[in-house]
Amino acid sequence: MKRLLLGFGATGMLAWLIASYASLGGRAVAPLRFPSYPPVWALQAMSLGNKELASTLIFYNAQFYFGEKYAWRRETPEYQRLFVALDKATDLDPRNMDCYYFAQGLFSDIKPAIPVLNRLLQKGMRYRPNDWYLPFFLSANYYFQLKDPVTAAHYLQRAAALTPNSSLFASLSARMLYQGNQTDAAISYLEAFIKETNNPGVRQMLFKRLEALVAIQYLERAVAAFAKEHGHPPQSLTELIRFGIIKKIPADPYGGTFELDATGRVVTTSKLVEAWKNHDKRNQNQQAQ
Amino acid sequence: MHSFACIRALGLATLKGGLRDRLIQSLLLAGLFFLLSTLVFSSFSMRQPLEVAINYSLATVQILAILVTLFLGLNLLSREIETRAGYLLMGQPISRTVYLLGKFYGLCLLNFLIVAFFGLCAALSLPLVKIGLTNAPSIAWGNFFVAQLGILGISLLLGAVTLLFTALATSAVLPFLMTVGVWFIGQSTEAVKNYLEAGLTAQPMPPALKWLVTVAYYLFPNLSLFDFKVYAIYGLTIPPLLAGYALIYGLVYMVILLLLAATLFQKRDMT
Amino acid sequence: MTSAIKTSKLSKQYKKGVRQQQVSALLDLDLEIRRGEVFGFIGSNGAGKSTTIKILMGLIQATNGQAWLFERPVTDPAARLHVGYLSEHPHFHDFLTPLELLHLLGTMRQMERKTIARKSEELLGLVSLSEAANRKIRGFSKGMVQRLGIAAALLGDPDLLILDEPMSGLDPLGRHLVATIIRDLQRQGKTIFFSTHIIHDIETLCDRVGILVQGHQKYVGSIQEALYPAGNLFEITVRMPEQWAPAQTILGSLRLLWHKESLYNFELTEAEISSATQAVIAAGGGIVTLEPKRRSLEELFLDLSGKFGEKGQSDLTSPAS
Ligand SMILES: Nc1ncnc2c1ncn2[C@@H]1O[C@H](COP(=O)(O)OP(=O)(O)OP(=O)(O)O)[C@@H](O)[C@H]1O
Ligand SMILES: [Mg+2]
Repeated sequence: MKRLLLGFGATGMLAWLIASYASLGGRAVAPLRFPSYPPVWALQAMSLGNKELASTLIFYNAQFYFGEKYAWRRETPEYQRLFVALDKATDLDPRNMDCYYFAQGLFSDIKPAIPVLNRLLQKGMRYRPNDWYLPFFLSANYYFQLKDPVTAAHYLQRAAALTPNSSLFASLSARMLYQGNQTDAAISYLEAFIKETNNPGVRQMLFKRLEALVAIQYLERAVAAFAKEHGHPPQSLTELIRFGIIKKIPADPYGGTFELDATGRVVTTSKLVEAWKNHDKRNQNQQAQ
Repeated sequence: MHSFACIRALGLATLKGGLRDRLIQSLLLAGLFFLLSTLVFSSFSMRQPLEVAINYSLATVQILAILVTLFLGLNLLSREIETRAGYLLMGQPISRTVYLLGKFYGLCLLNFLIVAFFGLCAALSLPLVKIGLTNAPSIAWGNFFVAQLGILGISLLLGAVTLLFTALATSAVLPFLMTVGVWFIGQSTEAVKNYLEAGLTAQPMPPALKWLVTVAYYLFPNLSLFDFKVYAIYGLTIPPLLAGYALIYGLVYMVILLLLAATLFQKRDMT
Repeated sequence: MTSAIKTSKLSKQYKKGVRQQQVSALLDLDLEIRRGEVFGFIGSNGAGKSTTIKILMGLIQATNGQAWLFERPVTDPAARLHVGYLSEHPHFHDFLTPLELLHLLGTMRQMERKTIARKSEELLGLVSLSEAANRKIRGFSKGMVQRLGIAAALLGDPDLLILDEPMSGLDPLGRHLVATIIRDLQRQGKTIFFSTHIIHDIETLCDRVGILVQGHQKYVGSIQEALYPAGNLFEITVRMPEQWAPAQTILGSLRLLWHKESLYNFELTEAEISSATQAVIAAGGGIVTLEPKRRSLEELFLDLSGKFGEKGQSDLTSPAS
């Protein structure tokens, strides 16, 4: 018995040492890649009758990968692979809320990903009919990305019907339905989302987006104040500084610069989103160099 | 009446053997360790730590019960024939069927104890997970219990499979490996069959493969039938028809396996 | 009087390997052991002794023929109710202790809990395992395992004991113990059927012996008849004084088998005994032993096998028993 315990202890220590070595020493050298998982039926067979656990493990892997890749290494994650993995995980266990939540956090900014993301969320709604988050996410995606306020309102109503505490939706739905300020709506949606998020990588990503939105909101308000004062909108953003309305133009966390477009709206030269399509190619190029 | 007393005595002796087996002891230890880690494991979940905790602990109990069955089958059934320790018992005034049933009873006892013990450990760890959570759902204890019964069903079916293979083969490792094979196939036939039938494959499936999968589906025990974990994890209502079907299926399958094993065993030369 | 063991045309062919090669281990064995008899079963390695015993214990199935224990066919488990068995290579559930094992076996023999406890204690004492009664069998030496096997065989107070080489692996004390046990049981009217390679055991214990040669039964009957053929010779061992010329006495005409220091060993016929002993005493020597010359077991086997080889049938069969 004693020997047994000793053996257990020793293996545990060894595993720990290897793991910590890999995470310290290996990090700088090996490129971090996200695995592409086998088909769902094979995953299910390999799970040895624990497909829900397999689903959780895929989600954990995705979560840890994202955290390390995005927050630690500051590299572009392989979004498409991540999405496919989450899709497979939700095929294994279509009730795995973590996956839907994580997917919404990751992909709701990425316009080209919205159709597949929405399909994923709808799968979730079929299996979690009482979960208000899923229609809430769908509503946000339809509103902000697909610019479809009618469908967005429909989903928001479903979400509101599912939660006894619908104060969250009151301001949001008002803003959505009455074509209020998009930036304000987006900020309140993001704040609501961030409040429920504890994954550091995802939080960091959402904060970055929030930072950009707050900057836009700040500039939009300044533009509005300028218009009120002068009776016409400013020619450019630098005019705002010249007239002393703001001290400086905030930086775009995505690396672009803010400017005014022809219609007088605040825009940025960056896409305000993470890359979706080309990341795999880019990673390959990085490796080839 | 006397046969029952023999089966009982044999079962108790087998149980002792199981509890005194090094391999099984270390498996149990590993199981305890895993259950302890439930708290840590579930903490990585973003939205559903309690669900993950239930999921993880049930999966641990299931893997553990199956591994114990496999190794018990190896060490206490197959190896007993291989080392001739069982001949002493077969030389007693009992029929081989009684011997076989006694062994199976021991397996049942041990599995029952293990599932009950670890089920209890898991049940005790769940409220701990719940402590820090604000709006966690309530735990569906009834479903949790049914899921444990399902796990017991799987491991007992596999035990009966080991028994059958032990009656067939002369070496001890062969039944073990074959049971592992049955476990693997049995828990995946339904998924593979559903997948193939859904017609999601890129190429049309060759009829031979379809035939093979169908045969495997009906020949091997359909272990996914006993998987009630999802009902326990998400607190869903268990369809009574499904539970009843699983119960009857399991019993019938087990009886058939035992009958086959007894018939084959009767004929075997214990040289 | 009913028989304890009876076989009729009992045959066993083992099928070996993938090609099912047949090995004939036993052919047409006809045996009848009476109640109260001590029967020795001998034969060279691979002769088929263990095969016979395993068929009697229902462990293997005969290819042909039948066997009965106390008039019940061996295929009926109840036939073994009053039979104690010691296998050739006893192997036990080594995770149990002797007491636990005996308890398990006692339950199968429909014994009462109390009887089992009393009997186990008594038997473990008999085979000097009392000390180890609560130790796991895993750590037992070969001899200890053999002793436990003997205790297990005796547990149900059986009327018939079937022992496959009961002396193997035992120290001299153990052998003596087994011999004593067998004699005791015989006195109680029990039947004992055992296989052995030790000629001494056969001579001192058995009423009758059966000899197997390559699966064929070559002889059944008294061991005296088998080992001391009629018209037999004797061996005399004498101690002679130092100045002694063999040629001067009658001893000079006898065949000297061996001599060592002052000991001399001669072969002689029954008729020569009296003159030879007188001559020894006259020469101032002493008689150490005088015994009938017997064939060794090896010689007997050779003899039987040879005859079998030549004629296919032995002329050493005993009168029908
Ligand atoms: N399981 C088996 N498969 C094939 N042949 C076997 C098997 N067991 C025994 N035999 C053969 O049957 C014959 C008789 O074997 P058995 O064990 O009865 O001999 P035995 O008289 O007990 O010999 P020993 O004195 O060595 O114990 C041998 O030729 C042996 O090779
Ligand atoms: Mg033998």
